[in-house]
Amino acid sequence: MLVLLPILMLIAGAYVAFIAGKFSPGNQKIAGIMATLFSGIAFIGALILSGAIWNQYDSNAVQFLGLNIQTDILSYTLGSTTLTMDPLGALLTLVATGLTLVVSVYSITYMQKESRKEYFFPLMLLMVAGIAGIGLSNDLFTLYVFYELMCITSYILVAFKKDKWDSVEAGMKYVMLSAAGSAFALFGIALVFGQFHTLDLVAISGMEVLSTPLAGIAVMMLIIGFGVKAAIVPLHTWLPDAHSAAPTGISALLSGIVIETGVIILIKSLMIFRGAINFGELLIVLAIITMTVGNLMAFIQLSVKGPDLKRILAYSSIAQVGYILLGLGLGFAYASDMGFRGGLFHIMTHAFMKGLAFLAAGAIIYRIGTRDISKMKGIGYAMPITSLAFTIAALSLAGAPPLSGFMSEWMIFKAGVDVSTTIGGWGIVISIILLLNSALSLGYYLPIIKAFFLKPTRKWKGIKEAPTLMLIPIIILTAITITLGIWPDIGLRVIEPVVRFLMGGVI
Amino acid sequence: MFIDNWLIITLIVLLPFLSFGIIPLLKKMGDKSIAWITVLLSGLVALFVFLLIPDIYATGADPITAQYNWVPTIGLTFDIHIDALAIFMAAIASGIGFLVVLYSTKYMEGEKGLPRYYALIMLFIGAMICLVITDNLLIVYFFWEIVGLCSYALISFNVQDPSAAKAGIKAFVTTRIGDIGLIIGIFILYLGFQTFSIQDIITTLTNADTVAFNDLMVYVAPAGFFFILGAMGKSAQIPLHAWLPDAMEAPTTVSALIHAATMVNAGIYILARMAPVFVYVNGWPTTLLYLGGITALVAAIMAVVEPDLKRLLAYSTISQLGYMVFAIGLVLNLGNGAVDLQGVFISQYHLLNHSVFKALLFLCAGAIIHSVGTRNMYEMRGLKKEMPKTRWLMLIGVLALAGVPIFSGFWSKDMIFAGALEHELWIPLALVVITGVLTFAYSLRMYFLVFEGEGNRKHAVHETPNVMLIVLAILAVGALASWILIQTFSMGFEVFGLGTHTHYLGDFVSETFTSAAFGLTVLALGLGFVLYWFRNSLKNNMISQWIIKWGRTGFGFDRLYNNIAVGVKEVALKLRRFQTGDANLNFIGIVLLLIIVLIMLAYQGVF
Amino acid sequence: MAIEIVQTNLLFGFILLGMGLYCVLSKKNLIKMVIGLEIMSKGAILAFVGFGGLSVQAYVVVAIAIEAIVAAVALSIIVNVWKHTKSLDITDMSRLRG
Repeated sequence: MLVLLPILMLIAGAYVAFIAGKFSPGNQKIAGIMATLFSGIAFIGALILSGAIWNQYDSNAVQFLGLNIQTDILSYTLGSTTLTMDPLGALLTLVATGLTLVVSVYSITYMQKESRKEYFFPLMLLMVAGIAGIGLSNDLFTLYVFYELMCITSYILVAFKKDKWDSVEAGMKYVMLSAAGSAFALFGIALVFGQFHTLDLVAISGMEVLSTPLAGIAVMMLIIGFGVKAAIVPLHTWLPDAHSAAPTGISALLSGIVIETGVIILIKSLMIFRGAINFGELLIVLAIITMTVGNLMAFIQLSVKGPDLKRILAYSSIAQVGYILLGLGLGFAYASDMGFRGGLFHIMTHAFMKGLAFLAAGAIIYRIGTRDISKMKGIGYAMPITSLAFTIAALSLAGAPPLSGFMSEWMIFKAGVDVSTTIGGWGIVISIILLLNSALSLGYYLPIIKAFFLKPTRKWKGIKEAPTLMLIPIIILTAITITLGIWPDIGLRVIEPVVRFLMGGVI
Repeated sequence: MFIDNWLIITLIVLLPFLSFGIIPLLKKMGDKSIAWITVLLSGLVALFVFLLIPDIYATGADPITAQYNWVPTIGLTFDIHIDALAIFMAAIASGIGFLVVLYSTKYMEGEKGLPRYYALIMLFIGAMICLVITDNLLIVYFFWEIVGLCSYALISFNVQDPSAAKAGIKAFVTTRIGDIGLIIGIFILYLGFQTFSIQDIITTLTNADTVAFNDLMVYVAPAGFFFILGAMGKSAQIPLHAWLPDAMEAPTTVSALIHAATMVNAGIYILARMAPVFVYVNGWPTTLLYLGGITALVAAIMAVVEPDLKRLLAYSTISQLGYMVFAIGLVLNLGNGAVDLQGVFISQYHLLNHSVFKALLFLCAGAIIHSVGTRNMYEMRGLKKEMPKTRWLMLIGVLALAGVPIFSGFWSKDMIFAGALEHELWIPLALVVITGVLTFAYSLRMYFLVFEGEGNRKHAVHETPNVMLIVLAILAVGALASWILIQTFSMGFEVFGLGTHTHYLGDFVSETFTSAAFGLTVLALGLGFVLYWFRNSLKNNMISQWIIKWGRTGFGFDRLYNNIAVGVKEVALKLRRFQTGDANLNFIGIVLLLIIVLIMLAYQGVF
Repeated sequence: MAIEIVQTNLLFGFILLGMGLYCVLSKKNLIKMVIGLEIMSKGAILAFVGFGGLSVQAYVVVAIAIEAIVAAVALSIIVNVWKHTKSLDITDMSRLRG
């Protein structure tokens, strides 16, 4: 039953937050507090499950958080079906609930001025419930259903500020492209069904592919279908609009975990064809295109008149998805454990550092009311803690040590060089492209930091440090970003079972 | 020993990082207390490092080793292996670090953001020490990046100044591009040796039989050249040098510590450290000879025409770093597994002397700029009356830089000439000798412009404050006498297999003055003097004008960097046009990806 | 026998998918684009149906329900678009670009 704790808590939290918000119009904060409470419990559940995963994979392990957790909590039989949490799902749930917890705290204050909070928090929790469900499902169709739960709630959340044109336009484009993607995904799933006459991933993993061309088409459909959510270039066009127009807490969740969920669901479904089709190479090529385009687009944003801070971060998310895809692609194509480790660890570190970047940026936007970087000159003197936190996030995103982004990026570099034993110089070329991308990303993060600390062009009258409830999540995420950099072991312990799981290829 | 070595090492590793965490928290105590606390802390670090020296520089000494389990999940350990080279670099970092912090107590007085300054300096010292004492290449890279980060943060220390912020970004991005070489080199070595441990790599390679050796060389050879790329970025070798002159926007103390005495030596260090491995690679030493020689020469030309005191010193640093790279290029593969690593020793000997006299020059320049308020040498003039003590101290530094006999720079430079002469490397030798000529010329030019002549100043100029003078005096003594350490120094390097023999002091002196290289030194000095003396009549022809014009714009390297940045921007602008915001166009992405995936799957033979 | 049904259904599924894709690529009216999306998903559902079996029925019913929800959300966003611009022509809606 414990395996269901995160998802049940998130769904229950959605109802409770809605009812609490609806029936206490006087108390504006209650929905947010309820959301925080329930996502907190869900997070604790995810922590326990991660501990069980670690114990399952390393029986000699030191007891996780001092507890010896039985591994039989990882599955629960419900009627005829058994729900099992696999390592990938545990990682996803842990990161998602953790980020949701801080975002809920943050949004209590951030959404204060907005109306309809009793819808906002439940939708957010349902979105994360979808992610937790994806982590839990071993059946491709269940996966699809939870995926749609995540998608549908995120459509509404992007268009949440319906009186603002930006949100509406971004939401409109997002729903169009994403729904088209879902159709492709469903088609792909139908083709999988046609091959195996079942969608149970455990059962499928033992079967042979009937027809390779059909499998190829299925791979194509799945890549396009889930690639929309993962923002693989050229399916990324919705992302900069949606991520910059959404309320900041949602931007953080979208960039931090939703697009990564797209990647995870993509690889989870593609793994069906592991023996038949070398989709790893496909992912590598797409990854290189994705990160290069993402970085270039983020870089050019600075030359635009009135550069939009959130839009730069959104484009940088595309680039970061490229890094993740590259790591995983190298893992699948050439059985490189470093590739898996780097890609998965990057999912974790990126969730926290990009979440931090968005939350810090959001706090600044909350105070000064504009997303224009050129109007933020010298904000570092009015909001020192927030600006410092943003600086740390940006440096980490650019891969500077001793921050978490560095730790995950070098693993992907290493994977690139490692595979050169198989593919010769190309492995090194891949690594060089990745490193050049990383250097290019400095080219847009550093000018933002520079702008924050330049001589103020205007008096920051009445602009104070962010409110405490927004500052706490920012500080927590900063601490995580630094801690994962100097003590990556705590993160890698959650990653390591997933790496072995992906290397083994059994579900 | 009454204190365990392990304890000392742990303190050396932890103390700077703890200071980095603590110093900003002491903000309330006031800038002055913070400054003196940092003096104390950096003094302690330096003390601990110096405590280890006697253990290393003794006959038949063993390296000091320690190990910390850092990331057990992936088996990453923080191995420490302290030998003569490591402890020497650590001593430079902590010793000069301490002096710079002491100097800063007065020099940086009244600046804004001092807690940040001192915290970063401590972080830098710690990272630099860790970089040199670790045996694990991956951890070398980790700290390599951290010192780069410190350098960026300290160049942009004056955050409100746009040019300082810009210089910081330039430095960070340029060195980052060089770092690509280092990290890829490291991973290639790992492919071959399955270890990140430098000592294991050396042992494996030297003990390998012919077949295994040839297999390993497949990895070692490309790695060697990637390492050179890494060193080019950090140690500002052409064409990745242009960040260093711009980095002079940093406070002068930072320039002295990071951009003259320590961080820029990291590239030299890694080449020296890996030389026992890469010496076997055909063409590796030769590449270094030419890279170092050309860098030394070109940078010296730029120094000759540079009007800005600090930028001149920066070019001179690049030039001297070129010498060091050149010296490492003197290593020799004698065949049958025998190697001559004397070049490593020579480069480190020059590094020792250079660190001291260049720190002295920078700190003197800082004192002058502090009191005159300009960096342009033509606006200084005639400072010998107003700053007599500084003048004498700086003169020592200038003579050491120029390589005038008995000052420290002379001895190591002479050794470099002798090395090239011994191996009959005529073209590289010509490069460094011409550089020697130019070095003397720009040293004289700098000294005469700053201290001689008549200056007309609006406001009074004061002599350097005493705290700063003490530091300058210590460094001046070093610039006069650091060469005397040769006996101990060479013994240590010999013991650890990084030099061929111990130079006994008496023999060393007599050898130096009787060698043919001494003749070259005298020749270089003479020509340099002639060049300086007839500077006005030499200035007016076409070629000189051309050199002056081009040299002052950095020989177009800056423009090259700019063009690259503009090129990237143009590609991005073209890309940006595709993001039209048209809803129909979004779906073209689907069609496009459909085609890409189809082509790739067809290529794989799926259909 | 099974193979034939499968192939016909897949073929028509592809055709529907292509028609829907063409529709969203070329139509300038938001409502027409939503119709295009619906056609695409009907193609996917048709492909599913062709494989037959009890579980497919369950899948298809759920999938149709999801389609309906997505369509409802899309239309509700379009209502908001209408409120802002009094137009459903997407050529008026490219303010977010670059």
